[in-house]
Amino acid sequence: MSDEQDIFTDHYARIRRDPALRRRLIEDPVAGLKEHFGFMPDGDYRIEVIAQEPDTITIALPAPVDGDTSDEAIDAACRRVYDMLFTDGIGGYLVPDESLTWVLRDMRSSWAARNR
Amino acid sequence: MSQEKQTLERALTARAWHDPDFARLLESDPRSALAAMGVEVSDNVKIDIRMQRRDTLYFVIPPLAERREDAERVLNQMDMWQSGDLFCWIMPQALKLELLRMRQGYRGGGHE
Repeated sequence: MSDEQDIFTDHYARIRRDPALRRRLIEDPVAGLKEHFGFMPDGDYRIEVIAQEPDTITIALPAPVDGDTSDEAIDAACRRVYDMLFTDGIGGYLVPDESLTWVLRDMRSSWAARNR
Repeated sequence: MSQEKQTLERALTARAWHDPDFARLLESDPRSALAAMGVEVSDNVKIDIRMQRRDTLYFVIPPLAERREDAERVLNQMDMWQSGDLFCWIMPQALKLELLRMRQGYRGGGHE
């Protein structure tokens, strides 16, 4: 499957050219993803969309681990600051916790399998 | 920790984690929350705050293409694993000087 025709690349192209599709995805990410990929796996997880806009700076703060908000935890969380500066756009996921790693991988695997 | 040694990112995280009222303000009116820390944001710039949650995937999507043919170009893609342990800024490169001003504004005399 080439980059030009895979379902993920196609999704980004649609997000870039279709304002209504984009709006539906932002308002209801699970329904928006299901609309394109045809399936969303069950699981104990949420999805939010961070929409890049030409006039917007998004700040994604770190998340405490098990409610630990000590100075040491803040130091550890803020030791790594990542500046993601895009030109015409970038797509992908922030995955805050290791427990979500296979949620995303399984999601993509199931989408790819269904669209093969 | 003195303000000269504390970064904007650390100060913002500390206040958001320790002060529920500030955290609410940050989500509802980020411009005012940042102003309370001595950080001014230009009127034509919007701030989108995400207090990352460990149970949430954040799907970062590109902006609308200015021209239809631009939408067909293969997009740069990334995944940021364990982003909950990171402070992330996401913005157009055209706003990089705005971020520089925000950092300098905090360093130069906020109210922390």
